[in-house]
Amino acid sequence: MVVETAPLWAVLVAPALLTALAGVGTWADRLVEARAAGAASRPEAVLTGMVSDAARLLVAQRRATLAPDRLMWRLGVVVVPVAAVLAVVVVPFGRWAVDDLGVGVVWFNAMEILTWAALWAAGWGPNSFWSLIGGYRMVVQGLAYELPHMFALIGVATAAGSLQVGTIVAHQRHLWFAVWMPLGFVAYLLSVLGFSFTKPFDQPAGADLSGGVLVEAAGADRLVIAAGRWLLLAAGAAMAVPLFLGGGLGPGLPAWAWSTLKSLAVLGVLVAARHRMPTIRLQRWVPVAWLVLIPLTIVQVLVAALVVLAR
Amino acid sequence: MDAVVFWALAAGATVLAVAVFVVDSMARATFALLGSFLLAAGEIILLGLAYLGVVIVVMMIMEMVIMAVFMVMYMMNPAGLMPMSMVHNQRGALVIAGGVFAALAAGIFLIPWPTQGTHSSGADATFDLGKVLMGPHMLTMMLLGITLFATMIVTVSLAAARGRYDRLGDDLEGGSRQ
Amino acid sequence: MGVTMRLVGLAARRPRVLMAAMPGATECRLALEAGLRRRGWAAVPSPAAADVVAACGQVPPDLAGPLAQVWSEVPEPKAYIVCADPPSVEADLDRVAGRLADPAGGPGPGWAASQPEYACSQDDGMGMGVHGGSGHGVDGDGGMEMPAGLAMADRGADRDGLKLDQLHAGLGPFLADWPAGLVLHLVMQGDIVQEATVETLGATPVGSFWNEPWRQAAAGGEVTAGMAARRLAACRLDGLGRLLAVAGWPDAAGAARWLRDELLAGLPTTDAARRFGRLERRVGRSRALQWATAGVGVIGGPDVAARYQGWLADIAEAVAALDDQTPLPGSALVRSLPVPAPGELLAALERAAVGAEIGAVRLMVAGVDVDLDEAVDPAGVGGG
Repeated sequence: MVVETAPLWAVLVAPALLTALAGVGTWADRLVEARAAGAASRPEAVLTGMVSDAARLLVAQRRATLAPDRLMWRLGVVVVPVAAVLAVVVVPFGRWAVDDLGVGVVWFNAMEILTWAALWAAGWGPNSFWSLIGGYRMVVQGLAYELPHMFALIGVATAAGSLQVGTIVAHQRHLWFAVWMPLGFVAYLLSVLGFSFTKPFDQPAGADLSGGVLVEAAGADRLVIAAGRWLLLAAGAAMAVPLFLGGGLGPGLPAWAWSTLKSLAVLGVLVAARHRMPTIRLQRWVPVAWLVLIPLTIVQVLVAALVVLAR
Repeated sequence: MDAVVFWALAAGATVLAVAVFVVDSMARATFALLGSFLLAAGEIILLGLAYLGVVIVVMMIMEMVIMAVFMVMYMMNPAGLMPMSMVHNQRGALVIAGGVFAALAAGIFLIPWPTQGTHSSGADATFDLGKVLMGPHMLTMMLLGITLFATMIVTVSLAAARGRYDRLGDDLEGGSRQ
Repeated sequence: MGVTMRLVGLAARRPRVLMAAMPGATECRLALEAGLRRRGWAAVPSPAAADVVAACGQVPPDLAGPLAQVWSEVPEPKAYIVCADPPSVEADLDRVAGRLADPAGGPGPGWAASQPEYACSQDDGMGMGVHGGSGHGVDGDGGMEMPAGLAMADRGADRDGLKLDQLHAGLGPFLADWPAGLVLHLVMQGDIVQEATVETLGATPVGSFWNEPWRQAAAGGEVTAGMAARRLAACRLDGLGRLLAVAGWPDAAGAARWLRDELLAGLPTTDAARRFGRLERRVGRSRALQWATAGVGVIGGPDVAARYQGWLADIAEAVAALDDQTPLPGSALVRSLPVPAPGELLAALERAAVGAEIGAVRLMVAGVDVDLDEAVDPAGVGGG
């Protein structure tokens, strides 16, 4: 077995590892941005800034707007990090996964889709025009990235003949799926940026809306949703490793070390993409997603199916 | 243990289903319905049909979010602030709902359920269910699915007045973009 | 108690600042931006994300109301400063950090566990603050019980021939990366603008900071062409930084603003040319930025993509002329391109905003880079 279900205490370890990965991502992200703008950017100063931000959000008041739908608002905010943590249940760290479900790939997909509902509710709740537009933008973004994302996952599942993440890793013993399914890999990475509403796909929380779904989030609300966003990005990066990069398989090092290195590399690529370009406007992106990306990923699935038939 | 989970999920699903008609906002009604579906998906997973259960989660979240958008668009003014009743034609609705419930409940007792052990391969219940439902028509159904999907995309893109004409101009050869 | 105060102390080390730019006070805004950069403090786009409100410049009477509105939307613990004197910005920032670390001594109603949430004061429904959260239609039909006292929305024909709810919202005056003193009153259907009306607030008789060398030359002062070129390059970099920030590219925006401040502080020509070359490669060749901004813009004028490419060309030209020692003639124009006066720009903006998506409107406003202070510059100086 390449991947096994870990003992029960892994339920506590997995969120901690995910948080650590998200923390490293945030830190690198802030470091790059501070360097570019000539701001105070010693690595330890950036770390202090993160701690300071978290402290401020913990003590600051939460916001009460006029006639909010408080239930929907809070629900939407809380579901963002919860979805990320639930998604990594099936992501193996080296040889161990919290639970290597037989339908792991679909489980991950379901948890990622939770962000649609969460952000729409978080945009709806405050009764604020700007956050409402942000919430609707997330639905549009979801409709743009979701089908390419699903076809990328279907390609992987077809090639491995299984929806179980462990089996998918085992099938990459000789060749990574990223090597012969590059289109699926790229579509997957784009969708990770999409479901974690991360730049360049950050229009739901865009600068042109003064923060979109985040515009009314203050105090703990803001901490939860901002942290959840990074947790989602980290979860997406971590899942790319078993799906496309051979999971913990690799020469020399132990499996957990390979998992860590590969996850950090994918996260590094995603963080770099954040800084390479401005926000991509959905008005421009949706036609490309539907007219270019969906057909390409369908062709990718077809290729995977033919390869499986020929084997 | 399974029995406890079953009844907890069932009770939760029923309460949320009732909430759909009790709450006074389309957004909440839609999300209550979503919650009810998610708990029903839990029941399916409990039956050992993990794939079907999780797929229901996937589909229902997507569908309910889109339904929320449409419900708000058609029904609410201003933008969801106005409390509104989620019931109308109460008597007729009650009769129909009661009738459907009675028919389905009767079905439970009238259908000759297979006893355990007739399950052929024993390995994967989802696989078996698929074979039972689709039988030799699997390929047909797959093709049908793809055809439906393509038809939907084409219909929408042809029908949307502000789609390609907006993007490519009246002659569809590029031009005004905003 | 001990833990909370420790957290408050930690939070006060890196405050997040909402900058409220006042008309006629560009220099204060630049000094504040530079101060924030030196300290690694961040400027944020919404009151909910801030704990410091920094008014850049003296607050004119007609902007005091909107500023109070913004202040009421900032969560406690919070602090407020007016940076009206560029040299003393550092001292202002020190003071505000101290005040945040000791919330009992600060302004505001004081914060306590008994106040877990805060509400904004209900505005007049026109959304004068950063966001018009409550801005539903103004014509209420009396008699019906409305939630939270809000009026029913009006309805109007939309572009597809449907009848849809209208929302009255406002952009400005204290929006991040937004021209000081500008308010855009909008009638929205969804995220599409149906009507747009411009209002300008807080007009001052000072004249634009960016036109200063030309004003001095016109008044008979000794100004070299190099000094004017330096100011022009900084002006274009300021506009570029704003556009890049609205387009969602904080890295490039930060780089443009950093170079702007260094240029104003007297960066030597060779360094300026090298650093601008890097920025130009990054921004000028970005296909994503081109894609996002092409086709967006004032009707009949150049689109936003053409405008920022023009700015880059202006900066390149100005950077090459930094050492030009020839005296500036008193009749010189500030911009190498003929640009319409602020009034005409705003009128064009009102027309162009109709039918556009709100994000495109933000890009349009950043793309015209209107400076309301120029309205009072005498004819012949500046040229708008």
